Amino acid sequence: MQRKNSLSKKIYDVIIIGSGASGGMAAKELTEKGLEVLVLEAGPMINPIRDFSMNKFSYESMYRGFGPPGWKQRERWMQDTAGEFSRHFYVKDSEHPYTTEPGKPFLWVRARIVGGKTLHWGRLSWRLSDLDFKAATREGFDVDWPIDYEEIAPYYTKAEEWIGVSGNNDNLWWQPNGNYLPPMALTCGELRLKKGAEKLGIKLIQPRVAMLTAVKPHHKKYGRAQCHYCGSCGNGCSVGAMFNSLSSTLPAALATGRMTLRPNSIVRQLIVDPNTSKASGVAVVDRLTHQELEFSGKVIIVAASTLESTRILLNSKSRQHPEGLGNSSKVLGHYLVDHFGGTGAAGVFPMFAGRDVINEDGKSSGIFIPRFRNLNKETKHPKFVHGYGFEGGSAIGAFPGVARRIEGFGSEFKKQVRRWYVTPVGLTTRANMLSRYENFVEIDPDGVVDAWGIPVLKVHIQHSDNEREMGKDAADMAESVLREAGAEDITTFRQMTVPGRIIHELGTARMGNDPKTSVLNKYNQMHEVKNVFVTDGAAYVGAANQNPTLTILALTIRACEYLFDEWKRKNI
Amino acid sequence: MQITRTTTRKLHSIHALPSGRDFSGVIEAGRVKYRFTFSPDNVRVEQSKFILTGIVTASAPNGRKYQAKNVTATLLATQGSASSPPPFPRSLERTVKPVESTEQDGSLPRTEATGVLSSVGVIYFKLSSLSGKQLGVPFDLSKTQLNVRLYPRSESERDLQWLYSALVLVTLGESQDEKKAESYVTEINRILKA
Repeated sequence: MQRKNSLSKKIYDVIIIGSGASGGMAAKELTEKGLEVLVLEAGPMINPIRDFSMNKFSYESMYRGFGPPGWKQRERWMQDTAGEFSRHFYVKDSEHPYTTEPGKPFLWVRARIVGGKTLHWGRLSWRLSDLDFKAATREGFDVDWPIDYEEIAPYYTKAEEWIGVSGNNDNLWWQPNGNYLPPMALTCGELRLKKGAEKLGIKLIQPRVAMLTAVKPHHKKYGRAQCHYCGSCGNGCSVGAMFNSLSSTLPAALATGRMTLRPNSIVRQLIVDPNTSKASGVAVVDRLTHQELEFSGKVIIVAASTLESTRILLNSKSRQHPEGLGNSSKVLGHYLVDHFGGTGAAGVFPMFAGRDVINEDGKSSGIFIPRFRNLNKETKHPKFVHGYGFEGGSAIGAFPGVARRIEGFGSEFKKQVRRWYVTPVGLTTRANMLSRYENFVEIDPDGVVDAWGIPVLKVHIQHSDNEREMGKDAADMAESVLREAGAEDITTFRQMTVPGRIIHELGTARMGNDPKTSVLNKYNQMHEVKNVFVTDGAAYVGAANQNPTLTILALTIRACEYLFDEWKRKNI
Repeated sequence: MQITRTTTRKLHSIHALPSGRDFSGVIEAGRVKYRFTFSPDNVRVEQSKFILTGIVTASAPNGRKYQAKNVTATLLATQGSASSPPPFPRSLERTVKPVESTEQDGSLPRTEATGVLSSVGVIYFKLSSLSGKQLGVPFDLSKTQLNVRLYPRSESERDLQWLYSALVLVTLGESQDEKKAESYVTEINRILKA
């Protein structure tokens, strides 16, 4: 039995669902424009002093950073990147189910916490180009994005300026230049790798990472400091060198006095006004008390992360929207993609054994090999469309992973670990997965619910031969680059990662010009419900092969600018 | 802001792990923890979905145990594992055959944990209606889901994970095979009754 108790009738200008990359940026942009914003975050608040472990070394724990045996398998089995010191950044799978088709798994890494996945993201910040936005025109598969590079370029510049991206302008038309802080230098091994790639006619560039190599006034204002190369980014960056919404966008929004942040607020669905068919608010379950709450807003921004956003919209069924909010096209949930990796190669540079360790060896940025297939007629591959790049490097971080491969014990073991510490080198693929209608999510048709009784997603996804051909080529090319660079003891990896493992799940509420074939317009606004915007990775049309967060941030800034213009014109 | 209050809290799901043939978990009511065990003694397949029947035991913190018999756990759906599958059980070599691959081109890379490399990581069951009062638990258990995380820690648990995974693949996956399903059901029942 339920009863309702109205405590307040406050109506926010905008309710933002999610406090990660997109939600945080939307909160900053809109509060700075003068709007009153409520940010709903499903997870708890974070206390950096208590919850960040950047300065903790593995040997301080009896489990050496791996945690007690079996902890991950028992409670966070899909939270692939969670470690002993960072596990509280991730959801417990035991409370957050989802289902898959037999034989076709999907790995869904989630961070329900204030700051979201920005607390432990990979930080690589690439612009897309018209090679990606106009991929259908160039290569004949699927559809183009409804925007081109020229339209989004100014917003990339704004996003880079705010978050702080270190990198180099490499003058590659398909990997556009940007607004960068000084790049992180390549290590000796990475310079050698670059020479190996060049012998094959492949570019290797310094990564563009959202880590401060110089501090600008707007960084300093919120206490952000320069990166000191400790290599523990995933355990929580205590100095704010790594961009996350907790140290950057949310403090800026809070400083305006116009943001209310409510953690532990799990969104059940959007509420639709039956008279206007517009969204009028958000129904929430309190994570801790299980109380059912409702919040009212004039505009709703859904930025809960790609699949959570789509889940919320699919769960938002009403008489006006029986297939889920704004889903008369039945496209919502479809065209799910994730980049794939796994294929690649690793080895050692024996010539560096025993060299002195320098501070830059601790940088956690590595190298990037931009896409080199299907750029033009000369680079066209006969067996697949689109392309892939490589991430990798020859840097090491705080924990000497090479120790796992060295036998022995005592002082001789330590000597060998020190000797080989600086030698590992590796390349792993970051490849485009084609956007196909048949890869999709739906509300589990068998009625599975989460710990709060909210219907969960069923994920349907698998790779096609285009991805498999790309994976084969990538494994061969990674091995070739390492050989040309002089690496030895090379292992070539020929298995592709399970969808989801790269944590670049994208699509499912795609943008487009035609309401019959897309969910959002080119400004991330729902075609059918004009006061709802979806600003996270769900809006993606095609995955490209680059890390998505910078594009999500740029699209969010652009959507907020449009939203505010429409607000002033009273069109929303 | 509006608040909707619920008078009796509904327990939506119970998380459980294998414990031999049983599935065990904990129900938390504030700071009080109740041990929950489902002990299946039979499996059958109906309309492509398997159903376990058995006894539910709830243990209060004071050690007192409460039971409900003839409880059914009907498979709702599964979550595929992203890890390597358990090995084919040696003890079953003479009685069952593994699921066959439907993959075509062996020259291209495979996707980890997919197809013949796959296994079931979690099984979601719908429990038949339980009485919280009868089990001494302060929740409404009338519509509770049992989430069984197949994390085996012994050989027998690994064998059961293999059998449950194989049964799901041949009843609901692309390699549907009634004969194999029957053989897996027979083996599961043999283990549950041993």
